[in-house]
Amino acid sequence: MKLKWDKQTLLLTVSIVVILFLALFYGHVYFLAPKKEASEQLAQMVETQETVMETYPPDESLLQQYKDGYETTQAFLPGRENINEAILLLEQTAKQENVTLNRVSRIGEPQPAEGLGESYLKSGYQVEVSSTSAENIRNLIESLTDQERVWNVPTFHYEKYADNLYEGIFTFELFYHSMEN
Amino acid sequence: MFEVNFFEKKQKNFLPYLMALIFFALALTLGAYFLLSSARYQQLENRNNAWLEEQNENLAISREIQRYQELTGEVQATQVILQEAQYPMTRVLDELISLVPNEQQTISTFDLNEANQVSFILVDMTVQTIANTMEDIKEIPYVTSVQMLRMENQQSDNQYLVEFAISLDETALKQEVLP
Repeated sequence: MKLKWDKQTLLLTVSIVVILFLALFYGHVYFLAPKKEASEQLAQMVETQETVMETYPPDESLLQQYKDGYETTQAFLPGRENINEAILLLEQTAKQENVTLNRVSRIGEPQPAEGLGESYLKSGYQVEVSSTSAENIRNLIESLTDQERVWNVPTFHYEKYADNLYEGIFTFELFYHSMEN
Repeated sequence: MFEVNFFEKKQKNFLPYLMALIFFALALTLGAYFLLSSARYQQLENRNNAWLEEQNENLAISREIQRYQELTGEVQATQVILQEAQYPMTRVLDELISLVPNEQQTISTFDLNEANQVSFILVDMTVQTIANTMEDIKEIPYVTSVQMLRMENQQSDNQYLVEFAISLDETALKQEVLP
């Protein structure tokens, strides 16, 4: 049996090496690599989900607990404007401070709250009130700004019309968010 | 006797055939490698998909808990920001008005606008009281300027009407209020 490295054999060997190398390279790039990437991505996702399950055990009573915790935040930063509750509070507080509520009007459309991201909005209102003393009106503003829900009162004007007649105008802003979707 | 051999027998070179054989063997090995690797990845994927499907409901609960926890945390942090950013209206009112003598009688108009400008119209003030009040207001750390816009004789007992314009520094004001 003769084994000789002639030109033909050399050419054949080089071709074989090139073909095998190309098959290995392109096989990896176009066949194995995508499968590997998909598999690794899925494995990563599973690992992440396992961590979530470990950190937040899937317990209905725990879910209810967290829901309740979130619900408590609705009192001071609700997921809706809740202007109905706000005007009730305004009226009750005004009554307590012997202030007459004359007019409440909205100032423009809700705007994104500065520095808080687009999911936080603020609504502005102007209130016209009257009372027998300026101190009553100031007390009303103090009560409103002391609430758990933040009432921002950036402007205030009052004027004395008679010894027992003061009229005041102030604006207030209420904040809320829309992250529940 | 002699042998006559007219045609020399050529010996066949088997190396090319050997190379071809080696090629097929390596090609088969390569193919097997790709198939086995692919099958392994597929098996891993199937296992992970099965786990996800099996834990689907539990995952939904855990993700919901996570969402509520993140929402709550974010809302609470935002509440702190809002409280710190809240305009300290009561502080300004209390501090400024407390410096006006007999405010029930003397304050005719008070105005504070969004540009942190305050204007007072005070009546029944003597010139000394006006001067003292201006001085007292200037002492407040967040007051940047106090200007007297007009002073009018009210035609009774050296009593004057005075209008002040006061500028406030909101940053300094909020720093005063922060705990």
